[in-house]
Amino acid sequence: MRIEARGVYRKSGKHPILRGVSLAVRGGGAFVVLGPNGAGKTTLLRILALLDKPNAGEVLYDGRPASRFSGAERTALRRRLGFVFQHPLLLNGPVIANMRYALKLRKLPAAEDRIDRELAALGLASKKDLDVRLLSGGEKQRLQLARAMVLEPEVLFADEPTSNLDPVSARTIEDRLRKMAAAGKTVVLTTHNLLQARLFGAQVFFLKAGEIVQQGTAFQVLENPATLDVAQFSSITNVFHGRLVRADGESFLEIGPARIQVASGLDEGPVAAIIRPEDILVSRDPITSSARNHFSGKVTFVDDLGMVVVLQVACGDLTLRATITRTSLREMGIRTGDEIVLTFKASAVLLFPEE
Amino acid sequence: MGYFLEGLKQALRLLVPPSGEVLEIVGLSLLVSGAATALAAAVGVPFGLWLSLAEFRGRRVLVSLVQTALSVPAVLIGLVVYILVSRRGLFGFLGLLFTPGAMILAQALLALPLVTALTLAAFQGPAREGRDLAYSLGASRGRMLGTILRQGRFAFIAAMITGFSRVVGETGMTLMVGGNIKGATRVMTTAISLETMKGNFEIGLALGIVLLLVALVVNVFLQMCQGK
Amino acid sequence: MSSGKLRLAMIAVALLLSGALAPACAPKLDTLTLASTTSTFDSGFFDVFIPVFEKKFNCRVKVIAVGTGQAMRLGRDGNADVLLVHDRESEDKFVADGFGVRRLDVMHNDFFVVGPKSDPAVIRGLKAVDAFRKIAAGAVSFVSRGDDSGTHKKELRLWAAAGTKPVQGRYVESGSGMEATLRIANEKSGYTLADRATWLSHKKEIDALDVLVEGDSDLVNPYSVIVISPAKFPGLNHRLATQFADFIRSAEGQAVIRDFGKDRFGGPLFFPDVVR
Repeated sequence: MRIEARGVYRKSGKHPILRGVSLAVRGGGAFVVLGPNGAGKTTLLRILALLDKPNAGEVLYDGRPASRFSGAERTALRRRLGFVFQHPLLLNGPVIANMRYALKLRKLPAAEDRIDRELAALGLASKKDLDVRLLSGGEKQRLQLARAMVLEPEVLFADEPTSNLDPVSARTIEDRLRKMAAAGKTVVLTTHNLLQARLFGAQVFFLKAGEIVQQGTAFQVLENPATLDVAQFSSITNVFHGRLVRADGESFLEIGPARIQVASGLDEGPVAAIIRPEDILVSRDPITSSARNHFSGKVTFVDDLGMVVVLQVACGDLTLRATITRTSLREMGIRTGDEIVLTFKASAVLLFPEE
Repeated sequence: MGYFLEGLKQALRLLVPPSGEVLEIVGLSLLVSGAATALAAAVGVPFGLWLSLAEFRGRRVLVSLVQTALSVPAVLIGLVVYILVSRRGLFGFLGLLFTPGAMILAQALLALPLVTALTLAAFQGPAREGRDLAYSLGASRGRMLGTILRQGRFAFIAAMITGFSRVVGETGMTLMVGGNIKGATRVMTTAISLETMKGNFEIGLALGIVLLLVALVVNVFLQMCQGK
Repeated sequence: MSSGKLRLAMIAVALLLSGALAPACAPKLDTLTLASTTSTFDSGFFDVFIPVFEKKFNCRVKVIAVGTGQAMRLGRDGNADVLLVHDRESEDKFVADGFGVRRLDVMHNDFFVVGPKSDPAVIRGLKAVDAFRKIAAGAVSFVSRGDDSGTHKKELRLWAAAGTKPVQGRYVESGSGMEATLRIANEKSGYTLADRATWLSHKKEIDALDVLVEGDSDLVNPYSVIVISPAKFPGLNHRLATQFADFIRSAEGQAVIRDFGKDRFGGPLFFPDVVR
């Protein structure tokens, strides 16, 4: 199934939420609508899933505009879709009743084995007869997903399905969605976490203030962010504001007294800069390499994120964050208070002009 | 204080055993107010539901109108109904004036804005959520509405209870279009009014107590229907 | 709400309350509470008579117009200073029971037997009792006040004199005031007993009925004034009540009664009873 948005415009009262959004989703796999809060992600998802209508523009399903569908056609189409809401919409009663209700609503025959399978896939098998009011937030969200999946949708829309959930629930949901995408179905989800997009290996649409600012693979968006906003989306990063100056044919970023060599064709003037923590090398002693930027500093904070560790280092007036693996941390024996050296290339600094 | 005790005594005398006249009056009160509430609900609940779901230009204006209609005084409704159904009126040919029919009509008109506004208020949030839920699961429009109604049945039964309470205790308008005719259009409130006019305060109080008891029974019954 | 708006709101509420309480705090004018009947009130008589009395005696009169029974009840409860009612039987009992000082004649008007213009019971021009007999026998309905009012009691006395009464289906008890009863009779094309004042005031509206019997001595409706007993209720305005009773029976008061209604109805509504 191919789902397209063309110039979708939607406002709430007088306030525009989506200003002419166009995108296409097809061929299975995961698609992520990424953006900060208030960007219009939920609104866009609801319009794509035929829950709301745009004020202007069209949503097309397999080339046919949804506005031309009859009520029966729209209902038939919705039956091929699934939707997981940001806040779980469940009915009072036991878990199993919610699952059965979904089938009953569609006038489908009871399918106890399929129900059991979906509940098990989301780790809810043991809570089958529990009243939903006794479930945790994460369990409720998992139930919502299980209920959507039991109806075997071709396309699943999920609105920030793992935000504010405990890690176990988030992991379980992500796994289930990935499995669905891998099986060739389509998953469209919204999130404000780029790393989650990366995890899915998804196609990303970056939405800000109602417009799509960049689209591409997660890798592309991460490596070549089109704007500062997009760049700030890999959750840990170094952002600075300074001045770009040229001297002796080289470009430098001046942040207060600090000077960083950069490789940029931009004109001199005020700029915003991003240095990805994973692009910064950490060593005990200064190293000799082609990298132009060296800073010594003291480790002020060690943040263990599981797979990687983020070191917060105070280098004079600048505070830089660098990521290293846990193994490296252990091997190098780095602790808070240690003096270390940070090294990174001029090209590792991404610059964006500012007004 | 003497009034009240005497009133209580009279109430017992009226109820145990229940006199034919009292039964007649109580029965008619229930019939008229019950029918009026049912009529108001039949129109008001779907309308309130539709209003809570619909999105269109003049929606807010329409909601304001419904809420303004709550302020229409009963006597005004009575007057309008009187004019419409009296022999010279537009619907005079129906011969409704001074019959229970006119009373039901007037009370239904009185209860209608109330039931609509309460349904609207109750469904504002739940209706949207119910619709999202049903549509996301691929329900047809009919099933979607059924889901919403079932989710909100507590609220709209409450709306009907409020509507019934409002009309069963109404006097002036009911008197005006019904005429308080013995054996035909005399209900509990108009009977109280008559006894007061006659100076029989104790009987008036007694009837008032009966009215409250009846209202209590009805409320309990409806609450059971809400099913907790 | 911001503190500025809150202050404004409180000032508004304070003004409203003071406005409501002001009348209670104003210097009190001598006040008389008069209990009378709705039919007397509806005739508009008080609109003319009361201002005359108020001006002459520099006082304020509160007229409570309710059903006859309730008016008498107000008297019995000591909630009125003086009564102006028209139900001789109840009045005598009232005074006999010690609630009233004395019953005094004031004025009288009369009742009409009114009915559908076509007069199916054929009672036009008959005497009241004969008319009632024919109504009971005929295939017509009669609308009664059914409220123990003076009119109702008069009606019952007429049925007693006629020795009969309409069958159940044809006897409609409205349990309402005179106006409402007339409307019901008008709507259902029935017969009823109406007092002159109410009839003349609403004749235009009651378009299906006509006066069929009048002038019969049985149809006289006498009004009395009763000062409530100070012995039973010492806190009442006995002085002003007595002044009222005296005034309404004085030459001046009786003149007001005689002249009332002439311009509106072409003839008097009430006939003064105090002969000098």
